[in-house]
Amino acid sequence: MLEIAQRAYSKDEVLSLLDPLVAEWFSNYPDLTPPQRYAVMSIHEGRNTLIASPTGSGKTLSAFLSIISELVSLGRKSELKDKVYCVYVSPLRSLNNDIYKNLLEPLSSIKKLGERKGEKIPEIRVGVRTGDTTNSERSHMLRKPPHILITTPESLAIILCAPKFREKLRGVKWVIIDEIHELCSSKRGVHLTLSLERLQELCGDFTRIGLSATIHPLNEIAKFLVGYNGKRERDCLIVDTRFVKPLELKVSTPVSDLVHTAAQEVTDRMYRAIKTLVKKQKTTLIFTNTRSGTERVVYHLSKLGIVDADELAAHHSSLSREIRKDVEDRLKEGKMKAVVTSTSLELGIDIGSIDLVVQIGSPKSISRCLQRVGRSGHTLDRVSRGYLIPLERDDLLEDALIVREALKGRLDRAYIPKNCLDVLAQHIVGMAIERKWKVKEAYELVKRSYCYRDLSFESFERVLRYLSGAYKSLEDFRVYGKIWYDIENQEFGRRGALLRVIYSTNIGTIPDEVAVKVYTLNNRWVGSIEEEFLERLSPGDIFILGGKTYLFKYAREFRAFVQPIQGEKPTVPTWFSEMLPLSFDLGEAIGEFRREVFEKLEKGEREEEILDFIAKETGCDSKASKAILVYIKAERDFLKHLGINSFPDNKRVIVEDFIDNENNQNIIFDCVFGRRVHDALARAYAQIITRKIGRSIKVTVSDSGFMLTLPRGYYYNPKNLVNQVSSSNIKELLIDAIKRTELVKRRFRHCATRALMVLRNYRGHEIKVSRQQANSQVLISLCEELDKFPILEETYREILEDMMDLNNAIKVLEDFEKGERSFIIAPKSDIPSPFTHDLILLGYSDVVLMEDKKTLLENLYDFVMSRVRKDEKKKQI
Amino acid sequence: MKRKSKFELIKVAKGLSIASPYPSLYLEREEALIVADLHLGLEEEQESKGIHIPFTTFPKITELVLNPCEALNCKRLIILGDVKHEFAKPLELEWFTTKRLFKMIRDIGAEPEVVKGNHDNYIAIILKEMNVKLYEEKIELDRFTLIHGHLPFDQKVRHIIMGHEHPVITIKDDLGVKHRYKAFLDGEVEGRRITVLPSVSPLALGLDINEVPSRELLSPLLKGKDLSELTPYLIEPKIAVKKFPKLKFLFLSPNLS
Repeated sequence: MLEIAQRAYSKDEVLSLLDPLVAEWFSNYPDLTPPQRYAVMSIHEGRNTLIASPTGSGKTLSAFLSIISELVSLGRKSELKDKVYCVYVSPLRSLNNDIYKNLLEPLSSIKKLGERKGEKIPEIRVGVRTGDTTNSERSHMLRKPPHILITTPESLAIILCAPKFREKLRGVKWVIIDEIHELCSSKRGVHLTLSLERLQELCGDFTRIGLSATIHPLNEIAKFLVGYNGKRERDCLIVDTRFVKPLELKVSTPVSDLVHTAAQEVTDRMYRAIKTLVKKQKTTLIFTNTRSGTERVVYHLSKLGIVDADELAAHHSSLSREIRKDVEDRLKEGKMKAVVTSTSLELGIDIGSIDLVVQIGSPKSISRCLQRVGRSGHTLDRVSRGYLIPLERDDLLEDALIVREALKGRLDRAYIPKNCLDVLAQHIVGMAIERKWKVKEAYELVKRSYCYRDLSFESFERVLRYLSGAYKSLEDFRVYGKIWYDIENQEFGRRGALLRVIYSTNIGTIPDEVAVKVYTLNNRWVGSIEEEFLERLSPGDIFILGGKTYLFKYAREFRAFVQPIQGEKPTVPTWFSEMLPLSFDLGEAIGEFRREVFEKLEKGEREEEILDFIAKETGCDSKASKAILVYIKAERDFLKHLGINSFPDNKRVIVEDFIDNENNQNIIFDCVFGRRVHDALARAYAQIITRKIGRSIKVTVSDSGFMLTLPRGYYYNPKNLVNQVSSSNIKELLIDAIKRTELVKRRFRHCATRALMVLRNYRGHEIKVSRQQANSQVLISLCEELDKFPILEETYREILEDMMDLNNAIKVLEDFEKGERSFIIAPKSDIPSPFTHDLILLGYSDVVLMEDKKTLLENLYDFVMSRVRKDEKKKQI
Repeated sequence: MKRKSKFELIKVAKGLSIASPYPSLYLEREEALIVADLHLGLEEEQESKGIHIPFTTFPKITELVLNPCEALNCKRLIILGDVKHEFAKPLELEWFTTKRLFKMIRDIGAEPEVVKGNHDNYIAIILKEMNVKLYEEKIELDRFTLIHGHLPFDQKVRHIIMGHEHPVITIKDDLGVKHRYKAFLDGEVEGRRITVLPSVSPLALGLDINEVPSRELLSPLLKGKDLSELTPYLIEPKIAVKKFPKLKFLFLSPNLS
């Protein structure tokens, strides 16, 4: 049963639970923090506990206090054994090192306290085991196992298969999962839930403790933490102290009109505003959304000369670990005036005291905003202060609504991936290394994880068949199974002496970073671009890298060759896959707010009243409120001009029929469901059109709408289109639409790597990503012919559910079917509405390909010929 | 909307046609079908490098080889090298599948012949066992000289037919999407007439001829040469073959060669 903690315990009550020595040491602390009041007792009683609380609220100690106490108690009774009692898992190595240090200090204080009282307390050992741990450290750990083991999800999975060390885990009593809000939304977290079930299988019940920042809904996170026992979820006490820290949020735009002001002026003014802010504080932390943005901001701020060079730095994941560590240390020591970061400082690494968090652009979700702003005012009694600076019109609405929702205590729902077959395959290999399994018994184990609760036996069995090499067309061969699978007796186990090595060198869920190195033609290295970006480049394209422009010549095996070129405009926008998607719930909040403002305008309320309303609700300053009103009015005026009296909000989607200046038809859906939902809807609608006209359709997607572009000479009436995608056919449409796209190829490689179909490491050699990628198009076409080949099924699932948001797309479509939302079709126009400008300029595009391969080839021929003819004509002139 | 693809001969030179929509050439006078680069057993070799490919390519390869052979009632089936993939001694699967293929060719009334490729070091053993004729360097037929294409070849001949390169052509469409196709190449390369076959193996794709400078190519007959006068015939196997304008119109970046 899940239960919200109701009873807060006093300091005296908590002290009375602890070992007297630990109690004496702890009594020096000031009063308990809120999570400590609720959680220490619960953990002391051995209950599973989820603690959701902001950074700096004493979460970590509330988890460790009763554990330390029990270990000290055991030590004093000379009952402390050479085994692991507590496993602490966090997603970050740097966090692991922080925790290590933060544990050594109290342990040595307690020890000293004992010695002063003439009592010798045996050492309570703490050990860190990550990918960085050396062989000698590992063998030392085996001789003298740490009582508290600090590790990462990947290392935990490896330890579970280590024949000797796993024996030391048999006595585990507590497992702490830190940063669970970060883990739960990725395959890393899914992977971890299976490791926990395998650990539980090994050592019996233990107490699970989850530490989370602000996240919602806590019930789901709790189930993710504790899993199921048979049909029932295991018990868990939820300590909800998410909103204990006072919060101050402001939205301010550099100018009061983002529609008509030049971008250059907007950024110039922004830097000046930041300058003023930084000057007033001791330390400011500045978030941007991308790594390149981080570099840009540092560059401009240093040019403004507001601080000494060594008081300003960037911190993002592309920087080396040494550089990041140095910045963190200097932050902790209070030596930094300002640090600019993308996502790398979101998590709970100790960075000392921050006075103000500045967010440039939109953080795209309420929870993320709170997490970032929560880095300021590190202790509980200090206010967390956040200053949001939107630069685009849509950012502005997003920031405003984040503030409104956050102040009302509403958060966006976290998404947890489920039934990931690639992660499952990896664990089945791990389990097979441990011992021989009955199929049913292994299936039951897997289903104890929240993420595999609903896994069908058929899917599970197909993964076994894939791993045993049973998917093949040549019946005569039994080859290369990683496991053996005895169908008759329903048993499986490992095959091959190399399997353990393969497993431990290929474990994990994070796809290899595919940095494509960029060289000039005379082999000078100039930087790196992402694989996805390379796919979009054609010879002759001009793009920006590190502030300089280059002409792309050609690529070979993940190396791109370029020629520096000056004074030319880039032909390809620099688009980064790291752009965060807007959360669905925040999108809905924006839709609702748009409706409120539209209605006020319709009722003829005075401008000052509306501005007051905006400022009061959203924390916008006068410029920002003005900018919002200007933007919404511009949309309203435009639609009125088209003769439309409805507006795009949370109940209505305006469908625009925009004919561009190249005479292509663009069908634009004006809605705010967030990019993940739009991506799904856009491709499904495009698939309808491509089936009808037999040509490829371009889709453009952003957080505030999507657009379908038809080839010249074709027209599709939007009226006949909008009802053709339904909650029942969208999935089938989407699978057809993404087949043969670059997207599938890339994701397939990731899934194949996770499922150990393509190894990154084999026989001591690292396999180049280029080889992993080699022929993935061909591999896919082979797999497509097999019956529900698990890796391909998983690729589609990952794209539809994790990358896109099929579930919410279905929900939206159901709303249309029930009449709770409606489409309003606008008449043909050669101008798009203001709400869609960012979509058209900055949206991310892809193509839904036509299905007829023969016609495709003929169309390409026609296209090439028309270009050839044009070139010839030019030459003649 | 799938149209059935019809079998047809697309003439490349006098007496030489593409047996469309298959990756094969037909020599009329000799009643011979020519294919190249089957790379049987590639899966097994990939497996040994840590890439697990479901073993499904063999029936696809046999279909691509046997269908045109049967349709044209060929007497000879000439494989221009790289029948199998592995450089070293044949792996279990290769051995088995290679033998099976030769048997299937004979079953439809054609006689298999092999020109040795760079991957065929150990093939002599299998061929001897199956009594299949192996040519170390080339076959001269009519005006044509058939080679694999991995070694320098300076002899003065009228028309070279070769494999080895596995040519691929990339076309970027009006929406900016890249499409990759295997292709035949045909035309004059520095004064010599050359026809290059695409690979039969669905797993073996070469470099994009129109995106990569020719100095990066594999075959000494093409490497570093001016290829702009070659005509590519793009193939979607079993669906269609389409003649495209000469490479000089398809180079995506100027001054590639």
